[in-house]
Amino acid sequence: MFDVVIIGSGVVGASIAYELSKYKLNICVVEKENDVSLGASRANSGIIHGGYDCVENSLMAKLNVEGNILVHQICKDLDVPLKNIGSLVIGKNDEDKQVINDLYNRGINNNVKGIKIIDSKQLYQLEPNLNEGFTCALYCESASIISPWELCIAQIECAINNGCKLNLNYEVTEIVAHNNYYTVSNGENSIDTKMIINASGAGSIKIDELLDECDYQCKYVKGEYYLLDKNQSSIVNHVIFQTPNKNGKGILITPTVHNNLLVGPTATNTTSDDTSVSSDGLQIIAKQVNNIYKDINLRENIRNFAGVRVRSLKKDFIIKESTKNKNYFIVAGIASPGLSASVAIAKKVVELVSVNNQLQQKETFINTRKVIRFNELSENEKIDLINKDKNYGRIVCRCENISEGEIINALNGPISISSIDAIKRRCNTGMGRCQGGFCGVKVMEIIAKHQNIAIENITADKKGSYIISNVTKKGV
Amino acid sequence: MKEIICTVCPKSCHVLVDGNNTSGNICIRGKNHAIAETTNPVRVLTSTIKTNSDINHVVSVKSKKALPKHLIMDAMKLINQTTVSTPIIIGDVLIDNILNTNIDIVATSNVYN
Amino acid sequence: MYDVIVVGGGPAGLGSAISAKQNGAKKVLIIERDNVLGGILNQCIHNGFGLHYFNEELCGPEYADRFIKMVKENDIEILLDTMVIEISDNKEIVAINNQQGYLKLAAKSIVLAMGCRERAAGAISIPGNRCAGIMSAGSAQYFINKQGYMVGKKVVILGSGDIGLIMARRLVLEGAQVLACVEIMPYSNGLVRNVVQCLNDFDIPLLLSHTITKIIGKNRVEKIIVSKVDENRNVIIGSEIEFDCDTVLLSVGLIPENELSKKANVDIDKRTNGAIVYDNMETSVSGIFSCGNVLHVHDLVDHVTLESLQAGKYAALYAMNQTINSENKTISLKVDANIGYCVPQKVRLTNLNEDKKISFRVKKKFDSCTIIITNANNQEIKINKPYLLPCEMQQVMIKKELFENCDEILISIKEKGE
Repeated sequence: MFDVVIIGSGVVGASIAYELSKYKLNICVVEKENDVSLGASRANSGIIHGGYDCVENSLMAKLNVEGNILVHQICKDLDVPLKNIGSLVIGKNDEDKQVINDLYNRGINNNVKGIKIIDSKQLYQLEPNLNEGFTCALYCESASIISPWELCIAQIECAINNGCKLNLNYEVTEIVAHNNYYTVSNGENSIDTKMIINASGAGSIKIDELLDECDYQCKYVKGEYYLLDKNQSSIVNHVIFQTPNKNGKGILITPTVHNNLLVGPTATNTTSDDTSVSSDGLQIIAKQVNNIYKDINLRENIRNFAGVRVRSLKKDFIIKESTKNKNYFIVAGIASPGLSASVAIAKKVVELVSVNNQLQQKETFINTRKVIRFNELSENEKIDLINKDKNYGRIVCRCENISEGEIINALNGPISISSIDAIKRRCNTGMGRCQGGFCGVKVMEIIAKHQNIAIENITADKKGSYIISNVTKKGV
Repeated sequence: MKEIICTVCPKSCHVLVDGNNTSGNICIRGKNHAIAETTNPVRVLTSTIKTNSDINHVVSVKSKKALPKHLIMDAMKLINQTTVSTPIIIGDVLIDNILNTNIDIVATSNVYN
Repeated sequence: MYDVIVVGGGPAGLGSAISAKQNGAKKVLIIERDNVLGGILNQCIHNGFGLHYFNEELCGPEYADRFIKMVKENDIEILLDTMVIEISDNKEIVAINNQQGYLKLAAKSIVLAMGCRERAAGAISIPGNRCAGIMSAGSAQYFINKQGYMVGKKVVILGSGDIGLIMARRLVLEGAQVLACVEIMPYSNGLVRNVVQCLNDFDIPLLLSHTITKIIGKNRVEKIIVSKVDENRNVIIGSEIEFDCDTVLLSVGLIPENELSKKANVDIDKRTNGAIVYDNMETSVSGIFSCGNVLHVHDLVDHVTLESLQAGKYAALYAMNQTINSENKTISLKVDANIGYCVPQKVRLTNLNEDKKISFRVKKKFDSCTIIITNANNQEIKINKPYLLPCEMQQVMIKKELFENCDEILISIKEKGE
């Protein structure tokens, strides 16, 4: 019998697993995909927002501002890439100036630290490559950029190291409520648990319906992006937002923690699993970007992608215990700024859980994680590392200079993985300009050898995304 | 009358062939090629053959001379049924006299282990 | 201290190392990231290599093997499985491998011969899903020819570059169905010989002025939409064709891989994405030379070899007498709007002891035309050509006399009757 089953291992599920694993609880995370972080958590802007944008007194505002503060320590403890580069909402005219003023006041009310309105001179000092004509901006010192999937992976890994279980490829298809416990099943294996936390992102309503729950509605909004080559990243220094107007927020432009430049997202209504990119969406981005920075060259694109964000029609996060089913907790509608708030959402869930359950802290909680990133090491560190382990001397991904040693580390990690993208999320292989054209094959060979599986069974990403269809010479 | 796109050089003349008469070519090589294409088109076949090695699963091969075009797929069937043992050196005959054409299938790369 | 270090052990690297040694360099080293020499030739198992250089038709690995043998006979040092991660402009190389670890190597001169990479799927922004089954033609070539793995059962090829065409034939021979080769331009980007022997021979349709407008598939490609484009390459609505396929191979261009060159502060030509070089294949950094596909994308390996012999020779001469290329007045080579680029881009006055071979590529197809080479004194050379094609690199010899007393040479194309 588990104490807690967490359904979903996106950044919210991961944060909850991490927080709850500090307590004497028997926890199991179930995930329908073959790795963690495969929903909205891997396809978003990668921004830890300041928190001035959220409606005053909302749960969003509170948890965004709290999360923004908490996430720094977690990233330090768990070695997650985070850069505190600050954000700017840039404005051109009086109308924009008014909106920026409103945002500033909202920020003050939301208790956002380090915000100020700056004039054009200060703006162009911060962003010298910005097109001419911008007159003012809202500067927010506390905004940061982060690797969202690494935040997710790190917290799950840490939870596992502290005793939490992770069941990948486990799609919950049935939940039975007993008197004081639940049975969760994927049709093959069932798990008994005292508590369930539904953190299944875009799938939350489907899970709730297994218990005849659900008193909220969601809509699904697709955001499309361009990810540009590293040679573009020096053009922009901060997270750049346009001033929202009657047409919406417009696209943002931001450097990423991996030194690429990210441009997007669009916002179109869609279904919960539609991550296709459209020519219309890409055109919208193309139209806006050079109005902000004329130097940005979309021909330096290395990847287009799309993510689906779930918005509750109540326009706020839903974090609550079910009124019908005791010890069934719903964490839903985690739209932007969900990533920024995720670690605070987890704290909030712990609070909710502890109302009816005695939580006891573990005496020992292993709160460290270290990732070797060969490329970032000094010369002497590189020499030492190769002397210790020759695998660091074999560079596999030549765009990003990722070594075989790092890939083997990822394969030896607490989460059992066997896809090229799982390696990419952990080591950055194939994140460069060739997008895995050269190293993809080599990564497959390393996975096959290390996990002792046939190369035909290695997928690019999710289940079914096979790369090799067959062997040649079947006539033999 | 048959139209052949000449592949002797990148100029790619469209050559009309009528028996031994051609038009549209600008050189004698083009004429000869176009007539050959209409009477007995031939192609060098390149492919791979399975090896008994765990490291190098296949070795690259070619037909030593051009094979009649219509025999290419039949030749592939034989090639796909063959397994060879390492070491293999460039030029090694891996299938001799394929389909009784008097043409051998030879290795085009070295596979030592 | 090495006399010459060659970065890359493909055809350009092999040729330049041999030439450096034969022109007097004593200590020559090739650094190769793969575990064998030969570079991309090892997976190019089709024939057609060596017609110009050896006067016979060889397969890729056979062509490479001839040079690998010469490298071994010439007592050239080789580091395999070794990645160069840094080149400084004072010609120090940092390389790592899993045997010797972290290596710092100094050279009197360096030849850059890193080759090129394929344009990735992301670079062309095809709408639709990001599912598996979208692969570059070169990756498919590696899987099939080197590893013996099939990449799909029903395949559509986007782009008609030579690798794509050659892979169409390989796939059919290995039992796959190739439904079409789709090319956005109104002409093929590959050699006609390959269109005839790789597509026509197997009844694979070549859809010119078409492009893939959508890729559909949950985890693996299931279906694609192909549309016709107008003369401005805009998609024509209503012209959609559906293909049920599980694989899309991309053959949409090659990019010289110059990340290391940039680290060494080598000036790059925006047109070629390769280094700007003088007539001796030397880059803007004294003592660093460049040749092969890292300099500009070639269509024939024979041309790569000939270019690499030049680079190796001059790298050796530089290593033996470091002063030969001290600052001198240079002549710029310019091209007109019909020509994409030329290599070399500059000629040094001090090197005017021989005629100069200039390579260039036209931007569009010309029938019956004249290549005109003019110097500032209005002296001209005219070369009549029955045709010029973008897929075929042109080479012309310019007599040394034409360079005298001028600072610029213009290469232009005139169509007949113009």
